[in-house]
This record gives sequence, C-alpha cells and structure tokens, in this order.
Amino acid sequence: MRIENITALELGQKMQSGEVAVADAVTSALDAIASQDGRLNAFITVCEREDLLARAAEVQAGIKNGTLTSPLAGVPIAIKDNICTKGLRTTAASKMLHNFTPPYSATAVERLEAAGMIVIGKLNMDEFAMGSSSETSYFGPVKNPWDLKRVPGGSSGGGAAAIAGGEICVALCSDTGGSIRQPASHCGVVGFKPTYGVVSRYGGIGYASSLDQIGPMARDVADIAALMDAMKGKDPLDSTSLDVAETRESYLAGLTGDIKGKRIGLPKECFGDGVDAGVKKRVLEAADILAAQGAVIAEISMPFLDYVIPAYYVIATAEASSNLARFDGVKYGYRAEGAASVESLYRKTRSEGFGAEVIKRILLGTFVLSSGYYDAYYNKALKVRGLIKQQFDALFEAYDAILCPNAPYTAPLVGEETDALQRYLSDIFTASVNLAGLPALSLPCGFDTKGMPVGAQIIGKPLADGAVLNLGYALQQVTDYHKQIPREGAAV
Amino acid sequence: MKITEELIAYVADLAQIELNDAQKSLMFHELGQILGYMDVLNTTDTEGIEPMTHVFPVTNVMRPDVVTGAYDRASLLAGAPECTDEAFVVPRTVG
Repeated sequence: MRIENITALELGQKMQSGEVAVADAVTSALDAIASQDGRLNAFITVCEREDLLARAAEVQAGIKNGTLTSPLAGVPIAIKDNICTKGLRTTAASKMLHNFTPPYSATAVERLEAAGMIVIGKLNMDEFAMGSSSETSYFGPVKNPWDLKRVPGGSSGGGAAAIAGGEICVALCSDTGGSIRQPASHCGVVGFKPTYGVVSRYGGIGYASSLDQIGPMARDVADIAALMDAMKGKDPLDSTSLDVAETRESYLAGLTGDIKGKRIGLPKECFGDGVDAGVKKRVLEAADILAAQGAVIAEISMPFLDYVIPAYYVIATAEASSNLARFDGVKYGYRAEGAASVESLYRKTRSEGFGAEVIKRILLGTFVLSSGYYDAYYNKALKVRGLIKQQFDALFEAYDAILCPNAPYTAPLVGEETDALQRYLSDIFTASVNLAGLPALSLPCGFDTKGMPVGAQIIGKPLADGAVLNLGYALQQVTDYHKQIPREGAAV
Repeated sequence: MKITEELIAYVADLAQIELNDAQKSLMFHELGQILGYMDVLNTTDTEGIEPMTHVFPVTNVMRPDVVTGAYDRASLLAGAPECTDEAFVVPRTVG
C-alpha cells in the first residue's frame, strides 16, 4: 500500500475488507512524511509513531468488531495548525503559540476521530492564516511539490503540499478568504469551503469569525463529500452552526454525476485582462466539459468584483484585531521576559510574539474600527458586503452555480510577490464567497505552459453544498487532472 | 486617506503593539498603499443597504439550565507561562 496515490475512500475500503491493516496505513503515511517533508516543510508537528500505532490498534479493533463502520475509519488525516487538537501542540504557525497545547479538540476533529480517522500531525500555514503563500509561518515557508521554487499558496499551504506531495491523502483546513481553495488550486488538489455554518468552527483559532469556515482538502470530490458527511451539522458549542434539512442529507450519496440542465454562469470579469491566458483556457475547457454533460453555460456579470478586496480586507482585519486581542502572554503561549508591569507585559509579548503580516493586519483592523474612521471604512465595508450578497442572490435566481478561476495566475515563485497590495489582490476570485457565506469548490482542471496546476472554482448558492460537489464530481468522472502527481524529483 | 506617522503610532498604541523604526516605516508605506486602495469603497452607492455583519441572521441561542462538563483548573493552567496552583500570575498591578 502506498499513500501517495490512493484516495481516503479507497484506503478506507481496503481496511474495512481487511486487505490493508490500519497500522500499515499509518506507517505508510509516516514513511512518506519522513521521506518528503524535509523538502516540503508541510508539517509543523508529526505525532509520535508509538502513539499512532496504539491508536491504530484501537481503530483496527473497532473495525473488526463492527463498531467503526465509517468508510473513513483508519484513514490518516492531517490538521491545519490553527485547529485545536487535544494534547497535540497547536501553534497557528506563530511564535505567539509555539508552545501551546490545547486542553480540547475542535468539534470537526472530534467528529472525524469518532468516525475512526487518525490524526497524524499538524500542518504548516501562514501565521494565524494571514497570507496567500504560506511564507509567513514562524516555522519557515512551505514549498510547492510541483516546483520547489514556487509557493504552494495559502494560507493552508501545508495541507495542499502534503496531499500533492504524497504524504497524506486528506486534510482538515480553514478558509477565511480563499485559504483552502487557493492552495488547493496551486497544488493540483481539491479543496472545499462549505456554506458558512455547515461545519462547526468550535476549536478553530479565530481570524475573522464572520468569514472563517473549516473545511476539507483531498485528492478527489468523493473524499471531500465523505469528510463533509462525517463532520457537518449543528454543534451546540458553535451558535452559528446550522441545523437545517440540507445538512442532514449525505453529500456522498448525492454524488450522481447527473448535471443535466444545471445552469452555470461564467462571470465575464473573471476572464478579462489581468487573468493569465493559460488559466482562462483551462477553466473554459472545464466549462465545455460540463456543457457536454448537459449543463447549460451562459456568460454573466459580477460588477461588484472591484469592491470585493477592499471590503474583505476591512472586515477581515477589523475582526482579526478583536480576535487577536486575547494574545497577551497571560493565559497560554508566548510571554515576553522582563516586563515590570501588566501593560508592559501585554505590549512586549504582542510585539515580540506576532510576525510582521499579523501586526500589519491588526493595525489595519484597529484603524478601520477607530473613532472617526469607523463609518468611512468598517461600516461602509459592511454595506458593500450587503450589496455583494444581494447581487449574488440575484444571480442565483437564474443560475445554479458560478464557474470561474480560483486565482488570476498559477503558483508564483517564492519571493515573487513583493508588493503588499498585489498579494491582497490575488484573493479577488475567492474572497467574495466568504463575504456572502457561500459554498465553493476548487478542483484541478489542467496545467499551464509552466506545467503548474490550474484550479477551477465552482460557487453555489447558500446550502447547495451537495449540488456544488456533484458538479465537481461530474467533471472528475471524465477528466484525470486530479490523478496527476508531481513527477519524481520535481525541480529542485 | 492620508496616513501620517502620528496616526500609525496612535493605532499601534490602541492595539498594544510597540513598533521599532523599521516597522514604523514599513507600516507607513504599506498601510498607506492599502488604505489608498480601500478608498474605492467610497465610489459605490450603498444608499438604502443595511450594514451586514453576518450572512445568516444570528439569534440568541438558549440551552436548558443544566450543569454540563467543565474543564478542570489544572488542565487550563497547564499552558500558562506562569501560574500558582489556582491562578494565572502577572506582574504586580497595585503598589
């Protein structure tokens, strides 16, 4: 058994049938991490072999005695390091939490573990999920397995690189403005941002709480659906989690591949100047493939696109400045030495514990909420958010889904994006989805002339998570982009 | 929006963060650039649109008034940089 080229459902099936032992699946993942992570730096923490084998024995017994029947039982999974795992260090890739071990697990993690999944380690990322290249981590940058000179995207770059690099087959990550979808796109894997509230956020380290969403990353859409089935639904510990009929249906069972008559809009603004020709070509090919399966494709317009990035960064940084106020060196994490007063303790701890990008966003957020500027920036951004939601609602009266690129270009070279504003603008196609709380799937749709993966994004109406996944599933029935793996010894 | 060094210092003070000179100069440049770009928001007409803090209506959630599990003190203090056996310890706050 090789973890490099198997899906979670295939692996789970082999364990249910007895063909593969749970301990072998765990060992295979550990061996792959040992051989690959030196060059990828996708993991911050890998669990101890002894602990994992003890857990594997427990799961093996559960499969044998029929108590663990989930198709995911025994499958190793890695967790982004801003999602709490009881007894396992959780750093948010920050010096501020470099020594933090949570006393509890996130609800999503608990549910995956209850299904028999085995947490194998914690994934590298941009510090506090603030970034789109996974270069701002306190633990060093993550590399793209397709070309080590390139970034894997971010902020969940560790998850995307670990899957593409063959270390694991599935990961649990978070998406505030594209942090699951954009790295999935840059690394040629599948990433899903559920409708806001479908998966509990309890135990996720908050960045911008009204935009944050926990979701899965995998090699194919069926695995995404299986992971969603295992963790979705109401959680009493997250008052924004939803208890509605749509979340009670099995997404996996809903993958029929039948998309006849589905109306898909292609926003003309997403195929204009500033979007790489290779990216446009591949995404339009994906549209043709969906049309051949019976979908009805039409050009649409998203005139609000110019306002997405300013509105997103005002709201996200405002919420971040509030969420990150809790890190003060008192209750957990880093504490600065030599402070003589409490106020000095707070200031020194925060100044030394946060990295440059996090400090920038806290200052930006503090500014837009400050007296005299609140109305002009924060309140205005909230109104623009309302406008964006209204315009999405209008589009979804006529269309079932929107298809567009995930990002204007494929993975840039390490250090290539030096301009701060340019980096923020690269979130343009993903961030509107978080502002409106929509479900969106990123999946591979080919390669550009540099040989780097291109990702298509399918956006659906609120709670149409299953329909979005089915469109992606239909595409994967007739393409094999998601089965491509980086060639051995890819560019060093 | 014109950013000044005084404004950067004021905002950093509100956020309880100390900036060295290099950071001040970087923030001055980058925040100025980003806030300049954010001014595009003012070109949109949002007349009659309510500010939206949350995509779905958020309502108060009630639960039955029964005692549920709580974390024991030791597990919560275990991550503290400094503590006694019952409390977090910070520098002296009153003379």
